[in-house]
Amino acid sequence: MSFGLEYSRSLSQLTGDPFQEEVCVRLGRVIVSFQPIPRKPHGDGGLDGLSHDGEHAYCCYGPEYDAAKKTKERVDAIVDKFKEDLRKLFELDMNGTKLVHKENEEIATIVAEGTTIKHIKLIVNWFESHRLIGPINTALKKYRKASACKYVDPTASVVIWGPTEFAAAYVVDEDSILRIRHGTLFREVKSAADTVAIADPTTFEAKIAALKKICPPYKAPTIEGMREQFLSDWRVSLAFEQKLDSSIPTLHHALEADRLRIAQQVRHLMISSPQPHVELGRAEQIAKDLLANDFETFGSTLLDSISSGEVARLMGDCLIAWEAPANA
Amino acid sequence: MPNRSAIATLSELLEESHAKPKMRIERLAPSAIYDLDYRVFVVAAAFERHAKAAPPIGRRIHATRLKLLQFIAIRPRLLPVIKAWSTAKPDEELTFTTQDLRRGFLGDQMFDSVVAFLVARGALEWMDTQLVEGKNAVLLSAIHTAAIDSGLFELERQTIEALRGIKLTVRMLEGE
Repeated sequence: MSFGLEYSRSLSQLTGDPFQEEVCVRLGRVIVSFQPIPRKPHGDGGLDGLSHDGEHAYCCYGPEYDAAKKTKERVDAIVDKFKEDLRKLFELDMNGTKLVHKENEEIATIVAEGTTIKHIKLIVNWFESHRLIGPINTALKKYRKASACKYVDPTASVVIWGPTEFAAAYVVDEDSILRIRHGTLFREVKSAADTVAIADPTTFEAKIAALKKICPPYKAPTIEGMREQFLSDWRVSLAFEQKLDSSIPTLHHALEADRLRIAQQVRHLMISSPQPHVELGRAEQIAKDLLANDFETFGSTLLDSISSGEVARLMGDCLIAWEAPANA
Repeated sequence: MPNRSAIATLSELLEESHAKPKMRIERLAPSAIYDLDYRVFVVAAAFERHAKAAPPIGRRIHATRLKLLQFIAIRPRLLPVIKAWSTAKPDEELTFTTQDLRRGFLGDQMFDSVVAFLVARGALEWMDTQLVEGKNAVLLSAIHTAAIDSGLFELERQTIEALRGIKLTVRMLEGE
């Protein structure tokens, strides 16, 4: 499968914020003047990015895929969303069936004074019907007439791009492929972690019960919170391991080796330190440093998740133990 | 502000309660996936149940087919994926799961090492892209029979049997 095809297929699987993030990251890599527009805290004014001295505008839409939806329903949803974005740019709103002026305060803080948008790209994760084109261009004509065109040039053009067009427009390099693969992997792991079963948590639960005995009763909620977090991180670790095992066996082998190194290094530090609990508390950072050798290219978010997952696993697999105080 | 990690909370609780933490590395169990004996059994079982007679050279199997079979046998959770992949229409787009599976089994270097070992041992021989019975092929049937007699690796054996009912197409083995 070519890089372009893999990229467009992967992009078509992204929805919501991850879709918009990927589009903006890629545009930022290939267009020197691309300026992404953060949505928070004031809203994006209907724009997700600008380039070419503010004259090219970009709007993204990545609706959730719903197999039950018919083509017409998908087309209508996309057309409605992009018409709404265009109305914002043209400072318009609907009053019943009539278009009325509605000031867009945010766009005034985004578009430079004296600049008008001359070209608008609408980028969507599904573009398998030409029936998107007509309604959006018809709306564009109406909005031009009804608007004072303060921020959009009256001759501005609009094009719609789906994943295929977006992938074909700029060279898809290994970096793009790696980024989109790992983004997908991260979401898959998170999603799989919700359903992964921990085979036998008996000894883990016994350890938590033993901890409750040596801690004062008022610490019970803290211990419970910690327990939940360990279990959650442990599931992420199991889901990640399963994913690697079935899709990238060579990295699964590396993960196994890293797991041993993490345990060894934490143990060495604990043995040599007068305060072993301090070294134990640093286990996550130690894990992150060691795992970075093999998994840095997965991105910091996934690396953080893997690190906390591997440390939770040390606890889950009962590698972490403690000697209770003599008076306990 | 990021949440406090669970391990940092544990460290603090242990410090406050004057308990001394320890790390018991001996409890870290390596995955069976990298155990040579286990992998030899899986390859032997897959060969025994899936290799076809091809006189006069004895039984044989396409090496990539054996690679895929033993990969699934170790990971029974992938059976539904392989079933769906097998019944997909030729022009149907591969799902991401099947793409992952394809990349996964082709990247299984442990299989390559096990086959190299079995070829060196005379249990298997290479014939172009096929693996055929070697002069010591009895080793494979002996391992397989011993596992059955001892009731070992039941899940793997069940998966290998289930795979007999699934058609592995050339497209699955050799790509689009």
